[in-house]
Amino acid sequence: MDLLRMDASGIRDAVAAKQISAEAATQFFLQRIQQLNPKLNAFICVRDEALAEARAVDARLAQGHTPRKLEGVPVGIKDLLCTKGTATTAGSNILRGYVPPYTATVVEKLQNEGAIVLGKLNLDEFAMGSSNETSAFGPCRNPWNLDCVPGGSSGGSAAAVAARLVPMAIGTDTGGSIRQPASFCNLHGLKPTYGRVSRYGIIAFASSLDQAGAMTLSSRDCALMTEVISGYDPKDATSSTREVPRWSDLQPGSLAGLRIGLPRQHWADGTDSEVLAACEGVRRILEAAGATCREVDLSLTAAGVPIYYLIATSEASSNLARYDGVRFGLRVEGPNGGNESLDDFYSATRGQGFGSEVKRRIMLGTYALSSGFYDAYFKKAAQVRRLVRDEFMSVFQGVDLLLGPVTTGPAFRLGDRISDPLAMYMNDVFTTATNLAGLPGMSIPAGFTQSGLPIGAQLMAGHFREDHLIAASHVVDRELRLSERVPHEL
Amino acid sequence: MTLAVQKILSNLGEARRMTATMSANQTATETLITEADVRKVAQLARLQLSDAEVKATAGHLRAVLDAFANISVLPTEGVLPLVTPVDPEHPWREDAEPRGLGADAVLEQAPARLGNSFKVPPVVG
Repeated sequence: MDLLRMDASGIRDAVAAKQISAEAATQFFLQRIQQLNPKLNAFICVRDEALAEARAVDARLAQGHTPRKLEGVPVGIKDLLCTKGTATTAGSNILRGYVPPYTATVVEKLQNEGAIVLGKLNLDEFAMGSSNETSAFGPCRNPWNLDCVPGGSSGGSAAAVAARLVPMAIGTDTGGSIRQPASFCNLHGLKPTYGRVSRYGIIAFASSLDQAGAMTLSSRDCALMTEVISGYDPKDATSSTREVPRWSDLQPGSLAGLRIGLPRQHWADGTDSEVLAACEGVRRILEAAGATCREVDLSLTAAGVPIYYLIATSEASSNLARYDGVRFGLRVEGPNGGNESLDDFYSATRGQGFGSEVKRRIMLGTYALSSGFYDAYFKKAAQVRRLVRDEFMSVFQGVDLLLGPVTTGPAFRLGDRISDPLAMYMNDVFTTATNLAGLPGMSIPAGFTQSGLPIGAQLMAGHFREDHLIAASHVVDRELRLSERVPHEL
Repeated sequence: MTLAVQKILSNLGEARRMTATMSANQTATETLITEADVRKVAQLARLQLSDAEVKATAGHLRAVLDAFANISVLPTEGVLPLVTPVDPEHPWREDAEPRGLGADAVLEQAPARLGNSFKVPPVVG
């Protein structure tokens, strides 16, 4: 059985039919990790318990239990989600060695459906970055070109799935951190509607923007994984009680009646011509399946990045106040052996524990919230945020989906943008607005550049209309079959 | 500033023009952030920065806030700030006593503890 060319759904079906054991599947991917992780640096840690858990799945099936939705499927988890008994670092020195006493709801849901968690995946420190270069555990590399970044912040998740170190993974998306790395690595990546997925146990970056989501090879895997992790959780007051549809039952079919908007500002000059051409190809496929397309305006597109960074850093400066050297994580005592002032103790711990990008964002957020600047920055940004959401709501009166590029270009080379924070932030120009408005968004494989780098197209839908994203994605995946490609460089 | 950033910022200018009610007499101004400002914010954030970091941060904050200054011209008078994107549902939870993790589990990760307490530097001298 060629596990290298199977998606997670295929592996699940093979395990359920006892064509392959969960143990053998797990062993296969553990060997891939051992062989290729030194080149990619996608996994921060591998769980020793994985094989035993796989054997337990096999025993369960041998006893005649009904196979679950992810029975025996190895999965990887971005190291921003807490896992009881397994170190959780957020890619930061301040949490190096931290072992949470509880497990994130998303991870519990995966395990309850029979998934085997192989380990924790690299990321930008506290999910702050677009290239995976701010990780305290070193950069992760793109399997399609090892000189390029895999994107970020869920870079380890993207690289691991693209390289088949694991057939599916969880990422998180605060301003594009699932969709951008998915587009850089030829994956499907779905950021659900805000509230669709519980944030319990996900280390907070910006609480009003964060959502966990699926990063997968195939469109059907994306539907399946999103279905498994969605649903109300009493431990997250912002999670929604809406019923979770059976997205895994959706099949590629006619898109007759589906209205697609093409935001003029997303298809404008300034985006790489190969990216635009690939997105144009996606448009033609969707039209051929019966959808109708027309141009629409998202006039506040360019305001998205500024207000996103003001809001996200403000929330981050508050969320990251908990790293103080007292309850968990790094503790730095001054020359007085712990007898210095509490403020000096906090400052020393945080000054040594956080990396430069995290410090930069805490500073920006603290500035935006500080007396005298609050109205001009945070409040202003929150007001524009409402305008951005209202504009989307208005556009979604006339269309069901929006289609455009995920980013202005394909994966860039390591080191190219890390010294220019502004250039790095502008990576997110097409993705931040969906988080600000709480909308679901998805990156789907759309093609490759002549130099062999993946290109993604972005789909966006109204609140809780993930079904539209999946319906369109299924059609494109059936037509292009890009998810079957395996990186050759490895 | 890179070409990509310039292009995107000019797109911001375009977005601004497309906002019909834009105030004509408001313009973005250069943000003044001194190293003293940075030290004050670092103190608020309880974040120890080296002299080199203070200098670099002043430059970065200036660059970022200058680039973001264009949002100040967007008309927002009377607009309610949006702090969560989807209206909360506030469901009732079951009237049951929630179980905590227990002191031992919570304290297990404490870098320093005294019995059943977190250890902190002396607060009252």
